[in-house]
Amino acid sequence: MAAGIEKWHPVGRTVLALLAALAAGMLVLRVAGYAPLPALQVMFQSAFGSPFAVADTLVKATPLALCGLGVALSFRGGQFNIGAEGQMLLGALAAVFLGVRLETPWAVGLVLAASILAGSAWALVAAWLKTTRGVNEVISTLMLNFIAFWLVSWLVHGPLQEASKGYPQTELVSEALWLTRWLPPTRLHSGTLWALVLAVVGYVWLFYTPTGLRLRVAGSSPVAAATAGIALHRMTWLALAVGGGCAGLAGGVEVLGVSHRLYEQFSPGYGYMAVAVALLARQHPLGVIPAAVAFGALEVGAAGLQRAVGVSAGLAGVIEALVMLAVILAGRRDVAA
Amino acid sequence: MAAFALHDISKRYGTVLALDGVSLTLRPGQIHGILGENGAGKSTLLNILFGAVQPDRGRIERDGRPLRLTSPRLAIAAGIGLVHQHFHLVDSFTVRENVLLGERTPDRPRLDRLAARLGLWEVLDVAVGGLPVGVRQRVEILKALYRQATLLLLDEPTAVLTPPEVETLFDLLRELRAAGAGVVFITHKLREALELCDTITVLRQGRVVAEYPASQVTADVLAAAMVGEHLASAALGHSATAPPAETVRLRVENLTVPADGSRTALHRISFEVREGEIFGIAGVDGNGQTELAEALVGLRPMQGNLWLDGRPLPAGRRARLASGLRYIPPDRRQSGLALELSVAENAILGDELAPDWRRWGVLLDRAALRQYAGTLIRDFDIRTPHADAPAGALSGGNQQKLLVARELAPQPRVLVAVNPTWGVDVASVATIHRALRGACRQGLGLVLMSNELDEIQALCQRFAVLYRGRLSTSLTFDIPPADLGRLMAGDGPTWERYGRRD
Repeated sequence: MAAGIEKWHPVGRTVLALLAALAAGMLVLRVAGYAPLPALQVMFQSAFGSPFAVADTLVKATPLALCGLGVALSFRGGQFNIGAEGQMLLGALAAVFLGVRLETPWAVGLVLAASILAGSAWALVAAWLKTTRGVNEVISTLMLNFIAFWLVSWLVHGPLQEASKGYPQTELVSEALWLTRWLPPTRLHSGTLWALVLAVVGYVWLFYTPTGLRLRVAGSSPVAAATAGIALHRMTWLALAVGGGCAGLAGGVEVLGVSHRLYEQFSPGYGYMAVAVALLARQHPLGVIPAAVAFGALEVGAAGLQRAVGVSAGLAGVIEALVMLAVILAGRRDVAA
Repeated sequence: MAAFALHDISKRYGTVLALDGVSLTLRPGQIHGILGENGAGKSTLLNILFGAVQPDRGRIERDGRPLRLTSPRLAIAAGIGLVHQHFHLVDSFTVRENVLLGERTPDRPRLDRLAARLGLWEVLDVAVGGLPVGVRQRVEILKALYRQATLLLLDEPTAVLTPPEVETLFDLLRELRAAGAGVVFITHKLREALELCDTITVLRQGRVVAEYPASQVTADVLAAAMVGEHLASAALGHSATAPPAETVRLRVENLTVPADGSRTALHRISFEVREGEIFGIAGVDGNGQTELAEALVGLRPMQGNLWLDGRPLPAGRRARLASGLRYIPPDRRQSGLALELSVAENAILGDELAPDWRRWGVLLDRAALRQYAGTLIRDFDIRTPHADAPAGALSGGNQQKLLVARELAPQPRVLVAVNPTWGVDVASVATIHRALRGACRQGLGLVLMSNELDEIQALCQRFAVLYRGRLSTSLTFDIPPADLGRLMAGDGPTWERYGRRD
């Protein structure tokens, strides 16, 4: 049986893993004393039941897609970048820093470019540590997440706190910079489209340019890459810069599109979920879109479940973890061979 | 103390017969050398004795009684200890902790006694990571002896040692022999086998070709047995191409690479390759082949001078690639191909920036790529479902043909090939040899490094022998086979005669 599944198409295996994880999640619900099927229905209704529900899901999916894209591209280059959270926070910080000062609408491009650069720079700290000191990027990117979090925390309590000093949060960015809302009263904004476009650009870059080819060789067969004269250090920098840039943009888009300011709990862990998104997408830039929607729906669905039945939102975390485990299992290579 | 016997052991891996009816008797109080070139089946034999690999056929006996070795645990219980070439030690643990790792009832007095005997008493409580290689090897031996090993298997134990450490090891092994232990000493170094062993068994292509008492055999005889009898009589019957032109394609002058960790240093290597010539570099693996190849193609910093067609070669892999110097690395799975990428993508690895498959300046033209890969697939008879299949899905022979195709297709001026037919089926060997010869007729200068003397003899008129980072003068196959064997074994006086004077 298990041997049979290994011959399946990877996408089929991934979907199967997703369903298995969902079934396991229902089992958890059942054990907790809730009826699984109605609960599933509530979740689905809250995530996809109406145009507003879909909009909600897409709002959640947008930063997940951008961060997930960044993580996927880093992974492709062999860099296990789990620092999307911190890179995103730095991107948001850059957006707020400029956004409260600039007021012309065309400055949106400038603000988002600054977000990209800030996210990249944050990731490049890990690249620098790795190429000069041999520090494993898993550790450094994770630690940089904590530094970014506390940096934001300090800034919103101090130097960047709003003038009224009411809450630990920054001023609102200039209204001229806010991204268009498509479906008021929901928060669906034009940044969703940008995530979609960027995923396609990432796909083309990875599979249809010589640089993307080099990145994939360096990531999957570093010795062969070095033998072919590809500078591995440069690919490390590139993989992290691109990954950090995408996550940074996620932060900028989230600020201009949704929150319009920065505060401590700005991200409910989008950057960490992005690792699961990238894995579910099998590190494919286009796969990131459905994977992000799936995780966005899970978030929204779990919140709906909490409202309707009183199930803890922590359940979403359990199901997310189950999905991640299932996807890793489904994606595992044949070890015996 | 027990005697072990192997009867008619055979083991097949896919199409390769690693061992073919091997019988051996290993007596207590004896050092038994197993000599053979790489791929002769030494490691397989060792792994079977240690229970890590199961033979397809044959039986093993201990003191005349059948012995089942289905796992290393059983082998240890039977008194067999293996000292791996790459140590299996926990660096952050002390010597004592390493030896006692996994032991439920540690016998400390016994450990102390053994450690004293092996000269490890002083370092018993020192972390292994800080100890020199020779001492770590002794820790492995201590581990085996502590587990009551009466037969000690050593896999190329001198490969990682400096000459003084080798002497210390040999003294220790002689002591163990005197105490009645049996030792199996696996090596490809003739001199060491002659110096240390009581009995020497020569393996070639999975078979026992000869067994000698060490006192009654010479290096010549062993060398001939190792590389094959037919070499001794095959000075004629040359099948190489027309005599090469006089134009020199590649000139190497005093190429020197300093020692770097476990890597072999290269000392003032000089040779030249003419237009259309296949210049062979023979030698037992691990004498600097990889280092020389990497220095030539620009992957390793070097001193000395290289000229291609009379012009000095720039430094760096890409710069040399651009000058028309290409490379078939020794390990296709690790360094040759990116197995997860498609056949077509692998076909342009190293040339991915070429304008031939560019579209709109920045994009890769997938159609052009597929078309290019298609021509390689046809010309080199690469069996693949399609050009977009991952290279890892191909058989070894087809992967190697893809690698050779990639390096030959751009019509390079010089190609450095290391073991280009290693582990490849007979049909693919023929295809690859034909392709290499064909490229040379077009003017390619080929540097062929191979640990198969047969291959060098089949393809080259001129060749040289590499031993411990030194290259002999260029030779032809008029050289007496015994001299060739001595050269490959690093015999001093022979090197006086054929070595380069400088």
